[in-house]
Amino acid sequence: MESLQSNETWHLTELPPVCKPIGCKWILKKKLKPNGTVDKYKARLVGKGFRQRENMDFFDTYSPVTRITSIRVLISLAVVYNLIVHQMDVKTAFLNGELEEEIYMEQPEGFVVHGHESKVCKLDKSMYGLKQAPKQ
Amino acid sequence: MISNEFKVNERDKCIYYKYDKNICTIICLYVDDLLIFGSNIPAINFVKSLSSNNFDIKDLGEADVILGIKITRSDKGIFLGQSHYVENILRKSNYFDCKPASTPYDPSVKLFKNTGDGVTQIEYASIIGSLRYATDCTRSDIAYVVGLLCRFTSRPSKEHCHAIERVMRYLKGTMTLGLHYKKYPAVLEGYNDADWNTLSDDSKATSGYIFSIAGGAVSWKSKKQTILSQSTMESEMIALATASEEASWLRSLLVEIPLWEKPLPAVLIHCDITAAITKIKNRYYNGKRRHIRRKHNMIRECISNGAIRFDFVRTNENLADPLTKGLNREKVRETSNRMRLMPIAH
Repeated sequence: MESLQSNETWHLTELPPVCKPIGCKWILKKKLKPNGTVDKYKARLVGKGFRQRENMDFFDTYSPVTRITSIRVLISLAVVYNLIVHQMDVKTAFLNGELEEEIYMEQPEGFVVHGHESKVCKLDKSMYGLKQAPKQ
Repeated sequence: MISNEFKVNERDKCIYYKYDKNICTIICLYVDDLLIFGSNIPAINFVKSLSSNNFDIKDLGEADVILGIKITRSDKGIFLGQSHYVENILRKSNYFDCKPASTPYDPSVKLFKNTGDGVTQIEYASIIGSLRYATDCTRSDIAYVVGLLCRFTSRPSKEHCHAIERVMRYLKGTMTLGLHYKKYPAVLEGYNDADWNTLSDDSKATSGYIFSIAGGAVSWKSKKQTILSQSTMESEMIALATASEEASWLRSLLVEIPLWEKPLPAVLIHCDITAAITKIKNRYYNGKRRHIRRKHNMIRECISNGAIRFDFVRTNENLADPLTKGLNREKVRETSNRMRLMPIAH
């Protein structure tokens, strides 16, 4: 929730009459350490992307995935030309993309803002579960 | 994200590169994982600071594991291995304590479609899935048999399960195998093969190709052909068309990588049927079958724009052989070695 807020994923607005909000859901996960003890509890808010309709809520979807062949080609080049290979990981990558389409979501359970119960969240950033999430 | 003078590789849009005063940096993107290749440390640090300005980034230092593949460096080169992944498959499917076998497939056993009831379908499918991943990442030696067994996933019979057991026993004996990349002169070359005379349900041939850079295998495939061929030459032609396509893709990928020596020579593809080579050298295709003529035209086009050329190689020395049929013990070991698929401490 903190990362969602600090990322400014959404802001509250009134729902325009023609739009339908999509639902959302908390997915709770227990992360175990290899020896079986509890490492941490993970909560993830997902949008119900299956309620989105093509050409209304999203236009194209894809994820940036390299062919495994290209990775092998680059590794073999790294050997031939003495390159250094480093690795990085983008944290909460899915929450980083800017959304181009207008999407409204119901307020997440347990985090409904008092006095604004009828309002919905307008998504500004991408979120897990949306159809267009991986492409960002 | 990459507005800072990085260019996109047109062949694979997830590769970005930059070449500046002999210093080359290449970024390879896999959803949220980034691999950075650089000539020196400052170049890599530059990329890191660039991306950490925009994103919340975790720096993992020297690449260690990517997509479940372990990267090990030595003074001779880089080793890509999946021994822990293979071990996991074996443990999960209770084959860990089986007796090792020396070949992945027994060619004397012919597999046919199951006409009776399927057995342990879900288990079969999940093993096939895991094997497929191992095959696509590092294990080119089991590509043929995994491709073959994939065809029976919808309704596996006892024989198919035995064949899977054989693959597992082979994996058990060869768990530590992985790909070695060494510092040989950078040459891209390929082998192509088709196996026409297989006894199968629909008598379609299998085509296979393998490409290597500086001796280490980078791209391979074993695939049942989608159209029916009437002779060895025809099936070889179909296989060559697939291989040429891959060759020209690889070539254009390399063209856009600034380090690779220019001009890029045509990719040499070795194949073991002279008839097919002669046919391809001939401008006219006099066969009646239109879909083969299409393949012929495609290969001719690749040749005429200088992307590929062909060479004859004896079947015995054809590296794509294990991708189209089951081989005996010595051949399996020999071809794996030539693909540089070897145990880690080699």
